[in-house]
Amino acid sequence: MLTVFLSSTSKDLVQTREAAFRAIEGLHGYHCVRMEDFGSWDEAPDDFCRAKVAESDLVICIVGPLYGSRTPAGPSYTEREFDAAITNKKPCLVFLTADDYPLAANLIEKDEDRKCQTAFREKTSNGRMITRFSTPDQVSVKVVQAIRNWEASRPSGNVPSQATLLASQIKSVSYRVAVLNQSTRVTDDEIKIAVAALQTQIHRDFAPVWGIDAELTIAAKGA
Amino acid sequence: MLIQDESEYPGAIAYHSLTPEGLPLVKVSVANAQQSNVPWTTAASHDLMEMLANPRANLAVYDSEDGVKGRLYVREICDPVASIYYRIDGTVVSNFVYPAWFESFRARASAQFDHEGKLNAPFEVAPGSYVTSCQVTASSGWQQNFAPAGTADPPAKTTKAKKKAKR
Repeated sequence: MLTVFLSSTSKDLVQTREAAFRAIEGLHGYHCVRMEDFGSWDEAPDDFCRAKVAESDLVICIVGPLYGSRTPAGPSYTEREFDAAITNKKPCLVFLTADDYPLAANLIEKDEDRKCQTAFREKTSNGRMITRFSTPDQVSVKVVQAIRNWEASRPSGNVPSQATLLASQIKSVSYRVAVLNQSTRVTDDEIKIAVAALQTQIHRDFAPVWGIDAELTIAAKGA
Repeated sequence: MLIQDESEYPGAIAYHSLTPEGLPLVKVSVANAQQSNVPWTTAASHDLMEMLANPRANLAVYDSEDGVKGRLYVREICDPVASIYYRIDGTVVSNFVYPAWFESFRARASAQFDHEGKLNAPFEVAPGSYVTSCQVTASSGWQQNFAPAGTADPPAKTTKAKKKAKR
């Protein structure tokens, strides 16, 4: 299972993030790590996000019109995540919003942040091919294309490096688990919430440690 | 994974085993969980992870004491921390041990032994939790060892284990 970190601002890219998340999760052998699933941790968000970037196999960086919230260090969370990807030599696929990407008037940032965002957009474009998009639907297709192209261009296919071989055991095994609700005491809505939490636990907490992953699917009643 | 009201085993909250065709299976009894004041999601989490780590419920880890004596530990990754929970988006889920917990060469506090960081050594059992093991040179067979709540390892109380522990 390859882990893809989804990095971007939130307010201006809600639908785009969701589209990218679904596109990545729909790819067999890939799991998307995103801030919406982080929950509560006794750790600074900046440190936590950069650690997640360092643990990932690939970083998808979606850069929109907003610079976004700043970390205590000064730069935005998104810029810090991008910098962490570069520092950790993580492959980073960059998607920029096109000039016609809509932005609600109440989201427009102050001049200083807009300058930072212009500089950040240039920084993400330096030395790499970037993709522009105008709608969330476009992002789904472009993200899948980019990941497949990245996959095909990886050196020696999926052969791990000597260092990886020495440091690792089996990379991962993945099962499919069907969840059947035959209880009259638990509603289907409760099952959905529980299965979502269990899925997060398996992907986020269990799989990286044990090298065993699973995709949980709620089976229809009578299945 | 089957979520059902009652269990065919009286009092069993959840267990994992195999179907007649050999497919790994988890069964969770919501009624028994509610009667025991245990969130059914914790039981589901517990046995789901144990099923993934030991799909056919037939794996054990050998810990040699001196090359002659030794103990086999059933590879059930939630039992040693069965009394410890944490939350994901409000849903209560089970703690679980890390691979280092089964590695006797590791020194105390030298690694992370469980997800919640409550254990400090290989084969340590959290208060109120248990482990199933077998002394290979003894004739006592598999035993379930409990660590009483509020005390530290080693566990004191021992009972005969069933074929597969049922929570």
